[in-house]
Amino acid sequence: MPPSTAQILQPSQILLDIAATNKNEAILEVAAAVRRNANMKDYRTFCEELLARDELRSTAAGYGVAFPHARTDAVSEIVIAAGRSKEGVQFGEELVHFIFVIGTPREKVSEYLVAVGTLARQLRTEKVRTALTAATTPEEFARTLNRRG
Amino acid sequence: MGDPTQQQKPPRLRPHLLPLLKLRVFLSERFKPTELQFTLLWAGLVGFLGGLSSLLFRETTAGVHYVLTHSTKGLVQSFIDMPPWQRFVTPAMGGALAGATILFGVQFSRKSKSTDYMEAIVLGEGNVPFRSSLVKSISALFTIATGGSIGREGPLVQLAAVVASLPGRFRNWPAPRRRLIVACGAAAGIASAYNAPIAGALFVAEIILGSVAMESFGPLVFASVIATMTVRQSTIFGDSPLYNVPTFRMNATWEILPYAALGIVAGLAAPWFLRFLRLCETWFEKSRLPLIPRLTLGGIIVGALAVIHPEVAGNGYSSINSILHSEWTWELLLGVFACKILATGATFGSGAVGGVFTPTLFVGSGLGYLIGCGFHTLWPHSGLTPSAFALVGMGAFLAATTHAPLMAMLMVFEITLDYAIILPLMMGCVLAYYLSIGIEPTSIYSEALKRKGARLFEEQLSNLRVMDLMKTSPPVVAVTAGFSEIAQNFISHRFNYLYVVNEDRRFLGVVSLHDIKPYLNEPEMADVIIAEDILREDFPTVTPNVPLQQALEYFGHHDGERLPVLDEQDHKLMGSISKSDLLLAIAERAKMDTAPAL
Repeated sequence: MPPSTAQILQPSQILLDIAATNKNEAILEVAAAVRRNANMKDYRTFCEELLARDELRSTAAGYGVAFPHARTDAVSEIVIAAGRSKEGVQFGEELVHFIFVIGTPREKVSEYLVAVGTLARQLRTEKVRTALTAATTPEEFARTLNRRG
Repeated sequence: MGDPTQQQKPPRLRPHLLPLLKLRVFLSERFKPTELQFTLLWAGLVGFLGGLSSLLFRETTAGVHYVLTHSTKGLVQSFIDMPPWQRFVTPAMGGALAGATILFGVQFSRKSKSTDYMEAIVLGEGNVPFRSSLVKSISALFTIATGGSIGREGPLVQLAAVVASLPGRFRNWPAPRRRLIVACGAAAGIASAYNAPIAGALFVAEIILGSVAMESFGPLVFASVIATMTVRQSTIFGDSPLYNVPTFRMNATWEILPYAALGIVAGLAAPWFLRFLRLCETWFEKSRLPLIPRLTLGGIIVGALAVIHPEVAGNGYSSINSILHSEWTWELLLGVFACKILATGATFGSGAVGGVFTPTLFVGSGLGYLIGCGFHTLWPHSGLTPSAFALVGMGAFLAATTHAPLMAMLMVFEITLDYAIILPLMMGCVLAYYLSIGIEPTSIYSEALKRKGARLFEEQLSNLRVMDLMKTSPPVVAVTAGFSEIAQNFISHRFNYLYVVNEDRRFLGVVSLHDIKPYLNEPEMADVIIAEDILREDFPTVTPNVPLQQALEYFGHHDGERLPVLDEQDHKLMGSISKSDLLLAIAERAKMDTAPAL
């Protein structure tokens, strides 16, 4: 059974107030949180693939959430980083406040779907988004997702 | 990096598609449908249409018969009622009309295409030309409606086969599946002609396909059953068997010996009957008469014989029925029997379109009846009745002329539904078959196929490769295809794996229906997921030059129904090959490897 999103999303990989206002910069700023992750094999390639995927089609999912992601050989296991922007970052026509960067090994299609599916399910609830907006520490942010995931 | 404003959001999954997609997944997981199961559904449809075309042909024949003779009775009875001059003229008129139909129809049908359904199944690609088949059937209609000594099962099977070839052509099926579905049409034609579903399926399996492999036999049975059910809804058949026979009874075990003797006589006589038919054919060909006079001459001969014995008119059905009820003296029957053989030779030899199946049954029943009369005279107190011999004679003669003993046994059993006859029948059929193949290695049906080069096909089949069975233009999506487009494809097609290609049509991988199953309830996933995200790159593929046997090995490690076929050089998607088509082709090859050359 694949690990839950909360298990993967460590507080050290959560940025509560990202500085970037541009989409690509914002993605890279959040991605930097998993640079030192033990499962990261090639951070540079990972970043390139994240941006390339977003180039194919926007990863904004609506309701102020985006899931920039990459299925890549640059990670050995699934990695997730989260970033919050109070002002919001423009992803195409959508203003995004929560950015979840996800990296999964190329062959693990199911785990990727589990991760995106779980986060999408949680974040469609306004209550969760409100709680995440109100979270004052990365631990509290992680706990909110843990509680509902 | 591109301008973010240029990016397009994927279209949202329309809510009404979700229940459909869920149903699609449910069906896929519960029933694991394969191409073969869908072939079965097509076989059912073909059976239904074959049954309908059979009813239509019968009604039209009766209508034409009424217009030309002003009689609503059966062929034999209406000929008995006719004055001699009319008996003479009617078949000749039918011959002229049949010839004119072919001559006129040739202008409307494409030339140099064989209309033979057997050829389409055994040698061809399963295409039976529509227009020329229709012309042949109309020609047969005139011959049959005017008393020509030929069976209506020929055009019935032809019509059912032509209807069956349509779906394969429109849906661009590979040749093995097209051939199978035309074979289903032929089975439906026989089943509906004789109200005999088992014999219908076995006729095609034993005579045409030469195999009872379940891949092909299942659809044949299905088509036969549906065709029979369809014709049984009409007043022509109902649930009763084609022939009503008196109850058969064996008083002592030794009584099986005379039936064995009948089998031997039938086995010796059948090859000569076949040779006689071919001789008639050669004689008419040598006469160099144009088509209309040739068919008219065939009709004149039948008419002249009908003046003496009106019972020769038609396929012989009503005469068989009366033989089975012992209404004949042997002297009378001998006369009718001889005239009927001559009439069949004249009609068949002149090139009239139709079948020789029912006339063969008549000859068999007549032969059996005459031999039965002899045994009955020798042992009048035994259970050896001439009508029982007529029944066994039908089966034995059929087995010997068609080289299909199993079909012959079941055909006679089905058209009489008399189980008590089964032991002498089996004995007679097997003996007749074994004797006849020793004398004449070609059956009534294999002669035509032999001429058309079945051996060539055998060679072709052993060299078949993936490209020969490949279906081109499988449905594909681009890597950027959204969840909605993917879902739509899974609803429109019954595949479990959707192929993903790039802009150059290079194969990248597949999207699996089972991967997306858990997210069907989460429409917001549609906004995030594209094909690239859920692509499975490690999907097995084949190249067009791979032999069939090797391709089957690939399927051994793969649970899907299809494999993508890629160009060896640039990995572009050329098409797909299905496991069912592969199994059908290999079953055909196995049959060719084991069957004696036709």
